[in-house]
Amino acid sequence: MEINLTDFNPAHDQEMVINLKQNIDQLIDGYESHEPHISHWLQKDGIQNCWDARKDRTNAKGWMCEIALNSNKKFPAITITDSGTWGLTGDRFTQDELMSRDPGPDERWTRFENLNFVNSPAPKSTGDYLGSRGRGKFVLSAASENNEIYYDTVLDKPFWGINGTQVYYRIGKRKLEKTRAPNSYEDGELAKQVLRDKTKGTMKPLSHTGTRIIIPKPKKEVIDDFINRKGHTPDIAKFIAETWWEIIDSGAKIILNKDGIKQQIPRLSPHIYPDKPFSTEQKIFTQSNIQCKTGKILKFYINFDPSKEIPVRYRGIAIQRGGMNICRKSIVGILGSQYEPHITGYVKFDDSLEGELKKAEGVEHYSINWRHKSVDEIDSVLNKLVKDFAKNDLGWTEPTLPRVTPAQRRQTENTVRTANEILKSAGFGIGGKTSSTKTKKHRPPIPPKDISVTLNAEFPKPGSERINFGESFPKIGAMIENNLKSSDVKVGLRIMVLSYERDTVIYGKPIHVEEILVKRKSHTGDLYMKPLKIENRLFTPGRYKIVADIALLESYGGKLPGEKLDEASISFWVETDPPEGGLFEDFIATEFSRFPVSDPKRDLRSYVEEGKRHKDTYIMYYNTDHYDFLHMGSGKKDKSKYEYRLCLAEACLIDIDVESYNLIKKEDAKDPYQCAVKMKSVIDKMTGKEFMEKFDAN
Amino acid sequence: MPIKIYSKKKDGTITVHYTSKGSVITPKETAKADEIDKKIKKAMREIEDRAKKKGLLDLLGKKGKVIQLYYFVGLELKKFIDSLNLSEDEILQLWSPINHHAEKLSLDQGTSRLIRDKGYRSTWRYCYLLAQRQEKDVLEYDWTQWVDIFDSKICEDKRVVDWLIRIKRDRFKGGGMQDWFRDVMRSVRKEFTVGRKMVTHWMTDEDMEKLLESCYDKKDACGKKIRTRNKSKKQPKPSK
Repeated sequence: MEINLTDFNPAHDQEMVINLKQNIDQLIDGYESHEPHISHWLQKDGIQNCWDARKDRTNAKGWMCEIALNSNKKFPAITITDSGTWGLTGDRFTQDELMSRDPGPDERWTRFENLNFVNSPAPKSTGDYLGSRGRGKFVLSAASENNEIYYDTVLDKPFWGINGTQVYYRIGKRKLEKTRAPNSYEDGELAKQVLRDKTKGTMKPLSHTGTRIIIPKPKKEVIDDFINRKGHTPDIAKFIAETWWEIIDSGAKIILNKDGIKQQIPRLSPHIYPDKPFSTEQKIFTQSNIQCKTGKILKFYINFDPSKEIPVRYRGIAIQRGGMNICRKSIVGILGSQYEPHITGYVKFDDSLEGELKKAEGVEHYSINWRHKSVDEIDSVLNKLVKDFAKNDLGWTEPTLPRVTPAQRRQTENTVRTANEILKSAGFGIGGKTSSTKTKKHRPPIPPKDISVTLNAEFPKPGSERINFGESFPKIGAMIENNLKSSDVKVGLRIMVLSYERDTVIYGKPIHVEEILVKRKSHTGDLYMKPLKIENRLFTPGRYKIVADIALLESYGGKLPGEKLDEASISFWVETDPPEGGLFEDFIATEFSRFPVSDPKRDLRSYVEEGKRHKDTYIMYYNTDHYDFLHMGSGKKDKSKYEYRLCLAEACLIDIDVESYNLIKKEDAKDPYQCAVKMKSVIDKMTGKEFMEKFDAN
Repeated sequence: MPIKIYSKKKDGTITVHYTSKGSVITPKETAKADEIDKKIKKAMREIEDRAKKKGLLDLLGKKGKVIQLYYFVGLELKKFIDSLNLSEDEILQLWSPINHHAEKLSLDQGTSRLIRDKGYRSTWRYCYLLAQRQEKDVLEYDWTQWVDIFDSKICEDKRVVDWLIRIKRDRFKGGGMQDWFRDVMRSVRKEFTVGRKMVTHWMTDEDMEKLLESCYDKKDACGKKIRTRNKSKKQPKPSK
């Protein structure tokens, strides 16, 4: 029997209206948070589109890009024109087509007109595409007073035009409105007429294969960056050189054209990254082909010049991807502030490491999230290279932290442990060991087994479950206990070392095998008790376990010979640290006055850095120069409580940063006001009596 | 010894990394790994060439016959791997470069049979294990059954596998081989690991034989019971 269910009337359907302008404003805010100059974004995203479309992906033969300003009154505009590229190829997808399939890598026209269709990987060993989602096109619109752009293209192969004839030329336009960003286009002769009319006769149709972006009525601040002040290089030329120095070095041509006066962007390297020092004081260090676990650092270069101050934009190590500078890694956190004005450098990676880098790259291509796990290794290798250079060539020594008495150390450890326990009760922090006994209290007592085995393993370093190659367990042994009142039992004991994940027996056999008669109501005392050396040949870094098991050798109580009676095991970690329980590894007191005045960290109460033991743990540094610290009170537990209060704010930030959303919910994190309210409420709640009293008990 | 590992990303690109004993790989280690990788590449070419000449590559995908190919590959691999003098853990890491350099024999990267249990249950390891036995013994079962044997922890005791080969040779009288084998394995697992936890290390040959024989005695009942239950499940409910 057919049943009719009442449904919504399709005639009442309405599309959700998105305030697109607001979205674009947020996107622009993202760019602005990294770089205040619109012209910087304009050149970076503009040239990036041209570079990604080059025909010769390996040598960029014939590739060129020209950024021009026409400041005539009839039609003032900025144009970005490329050659040696494919042009905006492909058909123009309809909305229905876009809903059913993503445009392929050659559907450049459709990709340019739409947003958030993720780029496919580039052909192997030609470097990945720099752009990923097409956000840059909105940056181009943002450079125009009326939020409008035109784009015309000439293709190598003709396509079927609107009138069913084959044409090579096409023009499109986009205007940003409040709730929509409509695109339109024309092709063939009509397109040429549209261009002439729209540009008031100031521009001719593009005459070579490639693409031209036309930004009408550019904003004044963008025009200003094209101006040659007192004979100085225009800012936009500096921005281009700073961003694209690597491809310029390899012969790529980028032209700046202001009202017909053309200049080629010169090479930056001879001045900023010279091959040889200009003076005896200057130190230059390069290293090539540094093998990391996930790929290769192709080149690391660092230049220290104590005799001059390096311009702010070139300070630190330039992180390069696909020929473009993404951002600079500051050396302040590595060497301290005094070297910062005198050090510049760069680092280039192979495809594999560039892939890892891309995962941690901000969507605007201006930042790297160094906390992202994909750049863990890159970060630590770069830090090491910088430190090695400073130690060997500059006589730098690693700063020692303030001396801490054993009692102070213990107090901090207790504070970290208590803070971790509180955060873990809120579901935040990695697993591993926990000192909490709460759950155990409610478990029924386990009755003693009739026959049991206990394992005794003495670690080389008391309190550490890590053991390195060449180190030995001083003693490993086991004890068997027979709790039976009336029977002596003959058992077999095995002591083995197993890989934790697969239970593979290391050495191919147990390290000890013994048959033993255990008298009733007695134990054997320590058996075996011999050292065990961790040999490089047999172990790889990771988790292992020592297992002792006992089995019956003669039938007893319905059990067969060979039946297992009990097992005991102890884990250990070879050449790696076991994960600690909790979010924080340590709280370290330090003077933030060591940071330069320009460094915003200087005024903070605290900040966190990724931990050393595990990728999901953190170290909190707090400022002993801060007013709050200096006036926190002199009570015995005041310091612990102060550290705890600071770590709560840091925990909230980490929670949002790593998107774990344990303390702040995802929906709250999206809205700045709601996020702030939630963060305040978390801190208010977790500094309540119930929690703060835990520190009095330490 | 460092090994060069190949992994395939979802987008199809292959990435390379090196295993290392320490946290940083030294140029010496990478050079060593590259040297081993070259040896693996050469060995795989030769193994595939020899398999092709013997007509064994044609058996790929042929259920019941592919065991001959895998046994041959196992023998060749064993010769090569034993010459490298690696630890058990290091051998498990070899399956990645071996698979990468194989052409016809290559398993699709990402299939569970390549990476299961970090290589412990890889098809390549099972070929290597087959090579530890005589050809006539290996051919008593087909590849599917050998996989079942190697997947079972209890079969890590050589005596259980010896017994499985022996009963197949002496007692299997024809008919549904896979059903018969499945019933035997089910009964063995039940007796050794489900009902009791047997540590076969401590079992004398006599005790082992006795327990295995009791499994064989129970296997018919076990199989029958299961088959009956399955059958009854399929029967439609009588309508009133």
